[in-house]
Amino acid sequence: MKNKVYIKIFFIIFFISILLSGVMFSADANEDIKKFDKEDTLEEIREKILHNGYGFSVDHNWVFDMSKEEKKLFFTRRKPIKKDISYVSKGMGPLQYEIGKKVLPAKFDWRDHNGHSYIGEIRNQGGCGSCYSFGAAATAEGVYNVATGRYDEDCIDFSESFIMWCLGKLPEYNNNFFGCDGADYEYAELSALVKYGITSEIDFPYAEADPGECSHFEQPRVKFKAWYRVECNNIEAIKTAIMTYGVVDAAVLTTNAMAAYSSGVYDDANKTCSEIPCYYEEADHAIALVGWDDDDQAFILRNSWGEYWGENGYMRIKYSAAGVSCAVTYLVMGPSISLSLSGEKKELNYWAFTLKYADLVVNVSNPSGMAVNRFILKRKETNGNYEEIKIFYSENIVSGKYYFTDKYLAKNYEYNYVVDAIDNDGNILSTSNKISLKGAE
Amino acid sequence: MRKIYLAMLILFLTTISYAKINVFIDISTSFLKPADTEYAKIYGDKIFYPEIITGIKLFKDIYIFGTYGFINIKGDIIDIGAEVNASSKQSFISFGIGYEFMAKKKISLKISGGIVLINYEERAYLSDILLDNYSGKNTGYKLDMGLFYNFSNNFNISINAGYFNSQNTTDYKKKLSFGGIKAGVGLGIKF
Repeated sequence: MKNKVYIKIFFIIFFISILLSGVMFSADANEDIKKFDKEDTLEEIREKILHNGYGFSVDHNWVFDMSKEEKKLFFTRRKPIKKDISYVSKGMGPLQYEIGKKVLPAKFDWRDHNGHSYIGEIRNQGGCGSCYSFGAAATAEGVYNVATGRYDEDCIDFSESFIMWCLGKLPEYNNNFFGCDGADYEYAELSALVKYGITSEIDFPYAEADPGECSHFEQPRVKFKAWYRVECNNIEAIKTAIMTYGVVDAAVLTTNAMAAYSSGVYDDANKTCSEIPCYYEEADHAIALVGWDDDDQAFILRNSWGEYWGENGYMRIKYSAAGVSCAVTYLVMGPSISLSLSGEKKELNYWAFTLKYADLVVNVSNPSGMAVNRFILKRKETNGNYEEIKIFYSENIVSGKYYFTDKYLAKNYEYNYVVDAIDNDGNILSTSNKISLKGAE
Repeated sequence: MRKIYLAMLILFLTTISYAKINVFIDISTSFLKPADTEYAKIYGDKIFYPEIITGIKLFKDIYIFGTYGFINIKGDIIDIGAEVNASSKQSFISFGIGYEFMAKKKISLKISGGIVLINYEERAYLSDILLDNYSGKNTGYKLDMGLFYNFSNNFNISINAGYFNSQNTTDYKKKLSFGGIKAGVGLGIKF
């Protein structure tokens, strides 16, 4: 009997010792990873990359070379005053019904999907703490382009300034985000895109300084149906969201290594989402995700630091590095109306003149029967602004065509035309492709 | 072309200096009825057209002449679906040979013919935005006749009529016709 007790004690001690050695071993392993921090020099970063066996390169760039004070004003994503835990119970929205339905490819990239890009040129936030507006605008653009079938040069370009200086001035959002002061973790900017919509970059170009009172609410805006969070560190769900809805909004905790990133697959030790709720994991910079590559075990991160940063403005980042999978969100568009604009340049010869004009056709397909108040045909003028040149009024159109002849085109000037479908409240329901026609040469 | 003008000037001055002179200068105000119907639709069929004519008699009744006239006018291109404005600047330089004979004691008749060089700059606008322009130079021919009343040895008044024309083909194979029929009155001096 006594022997049995000893044997039991022996096994218990043996089991505990194995458990402890495992913990010790893993602790040793963690201690072996050298973490990046915000004050690393390039040499220190390179030494840590080598030590940790990471596969990316770093170099000087305008973000890395910022002073400590400048970086403090630049990385402005912050914890909210009060946590909103309602999203824990809200779940992932319609995404939850999509997960598992689609076969996720090993590689997916909205910059090159069936030979087309569904996201526009990379942008640069400059020295302003406005990353949240670029993350939100890139997400809105990606979702809009996918929903309306726009790609390449027809990609929409939404106004970051409208988020910063118009939506951010509204009392209901002012504590969450504003101008160059950054945003908190609540993604109130996405709520604002759902409630108020967003204008185009043409209507309100990017401005780092407060332009004063906002006069852009009168301009047509695109509204979104809803936004949702994706479960923390659920890589399959994030991939499904990207593939189903378009570009997604996310956030990262930056280090000097991320700032100095020049190429390769970024990795670091910030892999967990340990805050409660998990989407409150510390992150100081908003970005967007446009795709993934299983070979690299990485997402394709779209930054707002200009095309000379990283890999032409993008970064491949390990699926869970920098907390990138902790606070992913996606936008959903409502039913869409499809507009296609086609045009033909014609000429009239009179006396010594060759007068060019444009015969334009707007093709409308509205199978879901969205209530359209009017279609506005806009033309980019010689002063660079878009002007309304024709309004077609039509309610409850399901499909049809509108014709317009634009007489005449200026010599040596290229005109861009685009059509917006507008609802009764003045919101843009859809925007057509853009076409270009040139006057006499 | 400058050489031709220079040669003409030298010829003119030389003749004045050494010949038994008969130099005349006429200033004429005419109206032009354009030869091109589209041009006429834009600017009208009576276009004011001032001209200065100078000549020297080489022999008893034969003279050589040089002229300069111009048009500077604005108009509208109508019936093309938009309010398109147009402007035309044309200058005409001609030279040639003429014949004058005395019909009565104070009345003479001049008939002349020569070549004309037309410089033109045509512009079409829509709300001050240039739609197209067309410029260049052409040569053509000119025929004139005038009836002169010589109320003194040095001064006369005249009525005159003529036709000048030059044609050009545009890049899009359209034939343009410059000039047309002109008619006017003149005041002249001779010495």
